[in-house]
Amino acid sequence: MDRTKLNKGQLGLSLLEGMVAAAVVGIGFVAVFSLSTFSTNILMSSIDREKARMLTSMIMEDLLTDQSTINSCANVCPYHDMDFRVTNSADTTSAKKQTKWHGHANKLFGAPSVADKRLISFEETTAATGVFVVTIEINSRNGRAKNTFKRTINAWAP
Amino acid sequence: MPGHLKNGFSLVEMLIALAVSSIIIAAAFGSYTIVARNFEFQKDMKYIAQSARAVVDMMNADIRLAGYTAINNTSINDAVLMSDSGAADCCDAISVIYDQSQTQRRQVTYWTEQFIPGGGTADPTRNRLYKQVCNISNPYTIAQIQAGGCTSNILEKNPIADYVQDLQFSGYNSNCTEPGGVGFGCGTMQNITPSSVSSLCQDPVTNVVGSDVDGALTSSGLASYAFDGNHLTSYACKRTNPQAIRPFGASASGGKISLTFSSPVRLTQITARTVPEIDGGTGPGLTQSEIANFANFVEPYGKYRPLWAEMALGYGRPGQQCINTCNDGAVSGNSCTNSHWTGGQQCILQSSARFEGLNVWGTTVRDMRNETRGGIDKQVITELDIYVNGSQVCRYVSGSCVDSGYNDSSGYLEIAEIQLFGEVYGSTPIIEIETSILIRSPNEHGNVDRSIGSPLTLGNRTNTWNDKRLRDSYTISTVVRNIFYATQ
Repeated sequence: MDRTKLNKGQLGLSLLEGMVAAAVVGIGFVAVFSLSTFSTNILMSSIDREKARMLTSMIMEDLLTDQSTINSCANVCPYHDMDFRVTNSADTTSAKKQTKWHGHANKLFGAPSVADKRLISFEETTAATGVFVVTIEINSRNGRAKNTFKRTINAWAP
Repeated sequence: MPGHLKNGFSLVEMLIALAVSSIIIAAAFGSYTIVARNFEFQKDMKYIAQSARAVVDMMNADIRLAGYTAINNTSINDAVLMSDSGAADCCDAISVIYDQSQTQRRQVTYWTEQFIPGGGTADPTRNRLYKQVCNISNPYTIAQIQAGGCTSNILEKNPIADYVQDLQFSGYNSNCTEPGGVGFGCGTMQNITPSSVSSLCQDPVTNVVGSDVDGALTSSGLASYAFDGNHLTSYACKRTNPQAIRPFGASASGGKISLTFSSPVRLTQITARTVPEIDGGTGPGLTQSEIANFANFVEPYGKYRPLWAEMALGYGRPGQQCINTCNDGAVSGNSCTNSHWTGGQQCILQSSARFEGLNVWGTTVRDMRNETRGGIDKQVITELDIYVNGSQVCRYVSGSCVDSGYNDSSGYLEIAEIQLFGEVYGSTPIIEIETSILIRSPNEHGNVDRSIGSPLTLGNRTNTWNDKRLRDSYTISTVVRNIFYATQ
């Protein structure tokens, strides 16, 4: 139907046009709102990353105080694949440290969810050199904030 | 109605347009409010995070340095001081001491003061955190610092954070199961004084011609003389004394000194000395290499008082208490570490074994941390037998010291001083400081329930809140490296 001919005096919008326009404006508002929420999430993830950085520094410092155990990490390393989402009641230095890190992580991030990760792994750069790359993975906010830190330890024992 | 008069909006159209416009304006306003509220939220969260990060990093850097002593400077006894505010009040305080240089010793103190706005009342959830750095010769207590002490040598005093609701410090040692527990690094490294010293063979040195020609030696005989810190008194046991016994099947008899310790100890170093110089005359020195060749002495140096002595350490005999030992079934020799310790075992060394060959020449310091035969540094003991089973003086011929009086059956087994060093259990040294800080936002935010997270326990204090302010806490620990390495 030729609306220009039939309705020359009706310059307004049709219902469809109006609904499309309203939808576009609505999408705009939702986008602005989402942007705001998104930026808040980024901020919270950034804060968690900073906390994870602090926790990693603490863990690395603690590892260096147990040099005699780290020396064994090429073979049987109690720190390798250590999941400090859980405590460890064994009477060993590594177990005590695991329990300590568990407590500190809980204080910083709250109790871990299933999707969260708190894991330490050791990898010797070259066999029998005593130089290890330590990887610490700390995921928080139900797995949404993912942080991986890598540090190198020279645990060579004369 | 003529058509040209119908160019305007009808009432219905106007109402619809007004309604639509109102909805759009309301939505825009709502959106702005949300964005603005988010901005304020983010600003305060950022304030909390940045304040906490800066403060915690700053405090940890100072705590790590605690106890650092510049070369040739006197040691720092209390490198970390903490004051506990208790469970009811905010906040704890900490003071650390370290050398900035050979001429500057710093005392850095962190504490909070409750903020009182002008004409207002104090807000217990708003405290200002201060940092003060002082140049000191003698340390101040935290109370003195807070009362305004150290005014003349103050280097800086600044507020470094605001809106601190709680600040807690805890000192501990996560390697140790309990305070005072037995384990590597869980005791205090220090000089060890035995609680009792006894010997069945104690003979004052008498009837030795020319003995003590310069009159320096004041007393001799008692076993306690070897532990009195005075080298001019000496323990002596005459070889002919029936109580001179052979340690561990050794070929020569020895004077046995029995020691007990009031707290369990782990020995890592023994220092002993002979005192040939008090005879008079001169010698080239008191080190082993200087004495060992028995040459270049001017009589009567070492003629009456031993140049050399041999000692053996015995522990683990029946009746002795071994609290914790190295599980040597899993490892061997000096590879025993703290991870190999197990409780309730017998000592490795029994009466049939011994630590031997502690040769004492003049002043001798023996580090026993790498002792492979006995592993005494791996044992925690409360009793120790020390045998002085060799003692040697010069026999001068034509003015030269040609050999020893080792075979002089009527001579004395003698040692002037013995000093023990090692780990004493009973009080666990603090090697880690846990810092916890709770910061609140300056402003309240919306109508959202902000009491999530309350109550929150930091250190020995539980914080509760039910206002609309944001809060976040940071808890992190730091190794006091200088103290940690001193315990190893």
